[in-house]
Amino acid sequence: MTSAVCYMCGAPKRTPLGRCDACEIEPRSVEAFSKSLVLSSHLMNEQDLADASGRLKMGQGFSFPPQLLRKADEALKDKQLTDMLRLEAAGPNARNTPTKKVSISMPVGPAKTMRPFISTQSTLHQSPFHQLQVSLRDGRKRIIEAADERSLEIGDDTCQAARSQLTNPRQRVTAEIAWLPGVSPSKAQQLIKTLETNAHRLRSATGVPWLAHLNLLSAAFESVDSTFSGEQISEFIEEIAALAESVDPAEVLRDINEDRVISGFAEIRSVDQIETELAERKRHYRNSVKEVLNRLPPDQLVQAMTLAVESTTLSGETHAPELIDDLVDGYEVDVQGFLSAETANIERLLEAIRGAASNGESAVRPLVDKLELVAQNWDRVAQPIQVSSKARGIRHEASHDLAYDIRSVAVDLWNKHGLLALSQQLTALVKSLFAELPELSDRVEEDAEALRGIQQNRENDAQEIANREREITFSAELGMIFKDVLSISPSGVSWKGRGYPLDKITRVRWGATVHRTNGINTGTTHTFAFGDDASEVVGTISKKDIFDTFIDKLWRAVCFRLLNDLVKALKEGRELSFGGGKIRDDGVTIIKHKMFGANEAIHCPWSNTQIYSANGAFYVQAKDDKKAYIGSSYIEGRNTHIFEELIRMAYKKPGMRKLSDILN
Amino acid sequence: MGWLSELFGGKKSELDKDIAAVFSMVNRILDDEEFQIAMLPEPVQALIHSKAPCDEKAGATGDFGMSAANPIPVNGPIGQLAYISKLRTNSGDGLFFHRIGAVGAIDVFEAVSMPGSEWFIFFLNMYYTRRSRKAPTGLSISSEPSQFSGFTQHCRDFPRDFPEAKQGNGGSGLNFAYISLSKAQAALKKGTFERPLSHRAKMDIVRAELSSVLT
Repeated sequence: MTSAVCYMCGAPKRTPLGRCDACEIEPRSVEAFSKSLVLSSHLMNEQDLADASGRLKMGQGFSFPPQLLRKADEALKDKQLTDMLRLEAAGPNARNTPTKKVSISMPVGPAKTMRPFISTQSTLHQSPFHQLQVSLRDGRKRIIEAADERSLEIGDDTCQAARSQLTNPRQRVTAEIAWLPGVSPSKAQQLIKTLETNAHRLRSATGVPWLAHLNLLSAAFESVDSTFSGEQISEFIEEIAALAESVDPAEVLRDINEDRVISGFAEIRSVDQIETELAERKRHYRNSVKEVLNRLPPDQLVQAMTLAVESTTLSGETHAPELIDDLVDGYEVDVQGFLSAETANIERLLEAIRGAASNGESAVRPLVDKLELVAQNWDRVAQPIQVSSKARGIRHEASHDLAYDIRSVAVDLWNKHGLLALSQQLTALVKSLFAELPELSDRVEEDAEALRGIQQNRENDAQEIANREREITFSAELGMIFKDVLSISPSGVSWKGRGYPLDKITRVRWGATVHRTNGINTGTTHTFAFGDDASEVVGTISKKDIFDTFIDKLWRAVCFRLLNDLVKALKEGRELSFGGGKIRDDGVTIIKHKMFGANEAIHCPWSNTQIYSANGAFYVQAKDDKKAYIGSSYIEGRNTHIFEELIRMAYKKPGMRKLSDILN
Repeated sequence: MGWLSELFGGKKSELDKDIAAVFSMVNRILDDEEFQIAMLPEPVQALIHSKAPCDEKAGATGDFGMSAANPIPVNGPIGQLAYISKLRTNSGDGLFFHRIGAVGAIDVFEAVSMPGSEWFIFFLNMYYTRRSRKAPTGLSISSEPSQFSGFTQHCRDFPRDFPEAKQGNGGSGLNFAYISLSKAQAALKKGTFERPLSHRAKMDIVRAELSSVLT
């Protein structure tokens, strides 16, 4: 059974990604899902969950560990899971993309049911039509009568003001636009009753003209409070914004004039007057929504704004309705102080990171983690503004500046201090927080790619080093009582405590001697030696398997380098002594052995030589003169094995003229 | 086999016949769709015969087999065993599986690749006359009849309790159509079988939606 805690209210939940029974919040964005997953026994132990629950219940907030959020984000990339959660976007903005509903099977249904709520003190209730209980079709005479009738009930002053507004042609149009134009008197009464009994039903009202519907929803929205979830509030705002966008001044003019024909008031001749009134009315809607939002707790306000902007702009891809833009502009002014203060905090942290970078990763990591939390909080509040800016095609300067500041530190952490992991962490942070900045996202993606490449190279290098270490490391203890240690490792080769670093070794030799007594094999001694130009260590062991393993490791650790050095030296034109002769890149000076008289040195090109092994030695012989040869003992001669390997490799090259041809 | 049978006389021949009959029966259980339906009680057969065969339900939405809105058509519970047992991952591995419940008429199975690295949740509708020839995305269907490697019951310690589940399944008469215990145990010994976070999250969602839960 999975334990889970609501990321909003801290109450226990039945399933991590489902709706909270206590606050009725249902996660809808990737961010909400991530937080919900973090606050579950999948990622936290029971004690930590209880602590988080306590903090959230006390309203102290909870700092979501970035590493857990990253795990949750990773999990939320699973296709089947995103389908189950109705997560449609998987792009850079997916983190805040609103979703529809958690369900594995049923078709996406309507928005979750909002509990009934009522509105009896709304702007519509302040309308002179409602105060006097008259309709748009009532004439001057009926209005005056109604004012008299209602004066005892609502006061004479109120009635006179209402009468005056409805009978004065200039003021009347304002009242008409703020009421329910195009709605019949009986239906208007019915709608007001609905507003007073179950305002939620008005959201699905049909057959109501746009403006009248808008006025009803705006009036209903005035009663929204903090018991509504951020999602519910954002949906409400989206509906109001969509209706405000749909109102057509010509239709309003027609509706009003149709009623005026009946009421006997002079028809409005120009649509301009309606447009002016509607512009004023839109300011009312904006202020009305803003007033409600400002009554909400900050987290709920931010959530509602973020969801509304994300949803209406399709995560910044399309223009939002005008009302949403207006709300964002107002919101930006309101949160300016907070963002400035947090920006200053972030700048201080960035400065501290720069200062601590020379002390290494352990000094910087706590600061980077702290920066991550502060920046995430900053971004959470700035998110509606960022998305709105993207939708409007304008740059949000504060985000832009902050993103570049963090990126700059990320670049410095790598370039100046080699702190790859932290640089990657900050780059990932910029990438996730400022995905709405198109010009930045490409650059950050390039940074991330470059850092990934560096990391990959590092890992490969580390892997190669580890492999090489594994390949050459060997140690054996020899001897029955007094143990002699033969060892080879990246730090060097040693025998009985004497050794050389690998790169100092310039000579090696080895071989086996079979001992026979009276023709009977009495054992084999394996001899090896290694050293530098000045000295060498010589050892003998009897165990063949240990000897073979040691020589294999020696080849990998030393001999390949010696072979390479030989080829380089020959290519540079040097002559190397071997078996009494000289080896050059293009040939060999060999000795012609004479029975009588002094031996003679002759030069042979490689094409005129042949090679063979015999009697524990390696020989190079002139093809056309069997008495002309040089040879070097494997067990006694310096680097005989290396020369042999080099010459045999060269022999395999068709048409070989120089030993250095093996490099081609 | 022929000359050996002749050499050892009639008794061996009888034995061969018996063995052949058993193999034939196993093959029919594993692969013969009509036979698989015929093994079911009459009322279930009637339900199954009420639906036309298809590889994927027409007009279904969602990824095939991965959503209750687009379940895999199969022929009864034995068809479920046969279908999932024939699924192969991209690496060619078979699956262990068990049923965790149902969403309405749609059965929900949890499955894991035999090396234990890939986890799945499948949705199957067993009321069709034959099993689908289509595989969910990322999987393929083996062309050979495959021995059963999972259950239509819930396994508490899935997949580690495969041996116990197989023992407990003795009454079904299907045990000889299952993969051998040694093969299952070898795979269970090798694999880690740790559910990834995404899979656990999916299981939470699925469990909350189940209309019937197997425990």
